[in-house]
Amino acid sequence: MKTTVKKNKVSLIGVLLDGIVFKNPVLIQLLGMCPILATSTSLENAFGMGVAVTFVLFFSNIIISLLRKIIPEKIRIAAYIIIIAGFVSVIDMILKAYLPSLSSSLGVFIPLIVVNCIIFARAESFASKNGVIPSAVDGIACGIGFTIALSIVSAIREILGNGTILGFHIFGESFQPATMMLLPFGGFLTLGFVIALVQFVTDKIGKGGNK
Amino acid sequence: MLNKSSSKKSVSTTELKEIFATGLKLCIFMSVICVMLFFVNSITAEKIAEFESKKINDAIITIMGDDPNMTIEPLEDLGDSSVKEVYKIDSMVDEQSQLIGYCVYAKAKGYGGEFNLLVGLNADGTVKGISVISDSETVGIGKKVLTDSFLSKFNGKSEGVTLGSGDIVAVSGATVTSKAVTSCVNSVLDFYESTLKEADTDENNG
Amino acid sequence: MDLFINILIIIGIFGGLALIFGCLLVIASRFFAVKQDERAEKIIALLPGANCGGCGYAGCASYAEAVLSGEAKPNLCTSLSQEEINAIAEISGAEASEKSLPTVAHIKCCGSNECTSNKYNYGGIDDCRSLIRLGGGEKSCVYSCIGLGNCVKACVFGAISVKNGVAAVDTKRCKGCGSCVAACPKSLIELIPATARFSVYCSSKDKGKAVNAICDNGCIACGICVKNCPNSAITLKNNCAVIDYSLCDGCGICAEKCPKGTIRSTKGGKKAVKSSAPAVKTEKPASSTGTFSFDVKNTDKD
Repeated sequence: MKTTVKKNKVSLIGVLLDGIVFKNPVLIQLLGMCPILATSTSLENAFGMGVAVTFVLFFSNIIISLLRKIIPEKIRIAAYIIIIAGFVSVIDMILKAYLPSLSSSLGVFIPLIVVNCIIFARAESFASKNGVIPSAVDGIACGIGFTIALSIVSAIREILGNGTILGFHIFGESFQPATMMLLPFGGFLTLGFVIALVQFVTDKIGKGGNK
Repeated sequence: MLNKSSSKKSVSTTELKEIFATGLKLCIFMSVICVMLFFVNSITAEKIAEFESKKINDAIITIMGDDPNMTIEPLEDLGDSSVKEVYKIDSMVDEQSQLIGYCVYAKAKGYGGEFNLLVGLNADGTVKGISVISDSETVGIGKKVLTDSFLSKFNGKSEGVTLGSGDIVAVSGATVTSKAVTSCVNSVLDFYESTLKEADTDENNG
Repeated sequence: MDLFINILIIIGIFGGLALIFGCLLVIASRFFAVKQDERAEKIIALLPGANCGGCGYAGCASYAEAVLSGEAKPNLCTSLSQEEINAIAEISGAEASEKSLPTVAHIKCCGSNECTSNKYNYGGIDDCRSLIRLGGGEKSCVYSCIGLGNCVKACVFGAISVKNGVAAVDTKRCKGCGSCVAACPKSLIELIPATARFSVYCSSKDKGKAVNAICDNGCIACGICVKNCPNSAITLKNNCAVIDYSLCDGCGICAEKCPKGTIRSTKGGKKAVKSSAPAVKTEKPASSTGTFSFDVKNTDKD
């Protein structure tokens, strides 16, 4: 007789919170850092990128979850990439048609969403093993988590590096911003500090709960 | 070590079937995705082309002025490597077509990739104005170059422009973009000298 | 019609490419396949996959191989039911063995923040081993649970947690694998039968007076439990009560009679025990004064 390994029931709220907070793909799992560094020069870019990634995550998770029993093991990777690339192409065309300024700002990083670690990691580790609804929720949650992390870094970089937020000058026109924050070096610094802060806070909360 | 026991040349029919079936599955995924892309493309392609041409038209009007008698005539087969399209701008006054100038849609290689400028030329070949069609420069650095305060410095220039000489100084911290704009304007001016001027003279003489 | 032809061309090109590559991938996977004993896969499917090491092997895969080679018996994994053990025996061709009696982990300390005090405040790395040489930990008792969670980290089933400064086992989740036993630097954790209903939550070797001074619930070796146990299952060893589970029948008289509340139900929750002997409390040290002093306790036996 075959005994089945007991699977834990997946709770949707748990999945949602995991993706946004506890297992945030950028700040905790440290995935998808390349597009973060490159597109976090302004908050507007950040929102656009975040929405694009969430769109792709949502749909690709759903499709991959629907097809998880049909996709043969050996062509798994090829099949996932085809599906993800399909949706990235769709969002690329949509952006070019309806939001062309955002599309040209983000430039080559929209096509690079295809090889964004986050999307492939969620497809491989979650969508291929769970049902459609949890996968959809996970897609949205990770997308939101990514957007939040990206927005935090972008806001810091835009304020310090350009003196503006969403294009509005907040320090007055004569403010001399630290332009280096907009260079890749500034990006690394900002991302590093944000991650360090998050680790510090979660450690404190963890200790507080235990003691 | 390669496992030879089951993958010898004598592949059984069930294995062949499995190979073909798996390949077919991948083929089906690919086809479905392709069809989906095809349909999305057919919906958006028009809008994309429309938008691009609208942007150019708007830029031409901004540079050359909003003249109700103005006609915009795209010239064919004239572009060289850096020039994408050329438009001849005429004005119909009393049924006489008078040359106002040219608008050259040219590309330049900036920091964040290729960007596109529309350079408006007067009838005498001097720069009338420059408009940015698309770019991926960094906010706060490269984008500062692509603003009227820098681009308007090129107005009235007719020959090779050098950065740093006289009134055109590169924007500090954005040298690459500044140089790209300068070399683009220079190539447009060269293009005028080499191609457009003659065509113009031919027309006047002929 | 035009549309249709376009679509066909696209499907033809890309679909054809996909077909070719799909076939190539399958062929390649056969070519590069790693031969694995099918029986091992079946056995691994029956194992819980937690890689806890309780069986004594590096992980579930190693254990499966060991069973197949005859080196290990099928009943070493404590998570399995008797049916699963029988199934594994069948697959590997070993003789049937009986499931060993289930055990759970038991932590011989109940010194929470409420019943004891700290001799100093520690702000270093979260590892129990780092405090071993510092008077055996922050708490006043050198035999106490340090509470930094080496056992928590070692447990793959999430059955241990640190609550109020002392580690506690969730007996429902504990599989008796023994990973925590090895992890505790003070060897405070032992495996007791899962059927045990009462245990002694102390391992202090100090004499009664010393224990009384520093812990509300420590064992003072008064011997009341020994005298009252109907099965003579408890004895005093090194100034601390010890239960022999082969004799214990779970009546709970020892827990009822224990004046310090050291003997408790394993189901968790403090048994309502009146601490009849009023403890001689030392002043709890003011928090973070920056200085600390060790209680120089007489830990030598007389």
